[in-house]
Amino acid sequence: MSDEFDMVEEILKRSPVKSLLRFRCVCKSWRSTIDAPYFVALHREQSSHWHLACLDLGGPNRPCAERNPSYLFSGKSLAGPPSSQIEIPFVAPTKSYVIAGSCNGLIYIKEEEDPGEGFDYTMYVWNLFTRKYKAVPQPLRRAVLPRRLTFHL
Amino acid sequence: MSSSSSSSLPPCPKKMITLKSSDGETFQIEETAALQSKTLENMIDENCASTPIPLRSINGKILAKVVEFCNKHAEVGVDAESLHAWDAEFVNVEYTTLFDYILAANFLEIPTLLDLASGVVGDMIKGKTPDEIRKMFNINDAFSPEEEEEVRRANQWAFE
Repeated sequence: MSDEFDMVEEILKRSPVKSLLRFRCVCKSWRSTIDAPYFVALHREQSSHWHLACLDLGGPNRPCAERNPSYLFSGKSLAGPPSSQIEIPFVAPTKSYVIAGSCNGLIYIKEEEDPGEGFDYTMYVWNLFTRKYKAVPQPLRRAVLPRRLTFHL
Repeated sequence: MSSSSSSSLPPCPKKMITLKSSDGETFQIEETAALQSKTLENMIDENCASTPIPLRSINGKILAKVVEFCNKHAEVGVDAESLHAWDAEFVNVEYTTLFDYILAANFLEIPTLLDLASGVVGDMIKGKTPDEIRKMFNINDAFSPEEEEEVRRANQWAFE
């Protein structure tokens, strides 16, 4: 009933993230809608699919090159093929990684320096769907580290 | 449909309401089917549905389809699978008609129709180029080619 009904927003909020990233170059107004924080919240609210990420982050005694590919499963059943293969964008061969937490499709990853190099580490927040990541300051307390994740986006 | 002789009336007569399209066509819809629309439900609750309800933003062609949709979704005993097939057939139309369904579903507040029609348009544009999408939506504020390339480069993987 609202006079300000936005049909484009109605269509975009039901579209997958990968499509939205392409739709950003349709025009200025589509890009501002897709980038707007309220739209991101709306999109997350709307999404009814679950996603399962299977990530191999390597280990201290396993070279990076030997890691298994990581996959994202989305939708209704695990019986189908994965919806996409994902590259972990920040892995460095000499470091090891553990998952420190996840929320709404964001994954929190701890990057540890070579064993024996002290307690220095970097934390990353990584958005599995936009494939963007950011290094963040270290937390004050130790986090619980799950191995597998499900979340909605 | 109704008879003037009270003795031949069915034991529980169906309550009908009348909708009037922007181009003056009238449509009868059972109250139970009309309840799919929150807008109509409110009017029924407030006793505003005893006279024809004017819907100035919906033309007769679209209103006929919306009434058909509400009737189908109010039917009892339809299994989910056949309703799904019926829905797929219902939205197998030109995108301009889907736009009209979306606008009507929004005006009448019919969430099932809004979801269905918006989802289909979303699927339709998934594989289209920005140019094709601009034509479809009559968009005039496109980027310059250089700007578009820059926006594209920010998420290159999504285009591969």
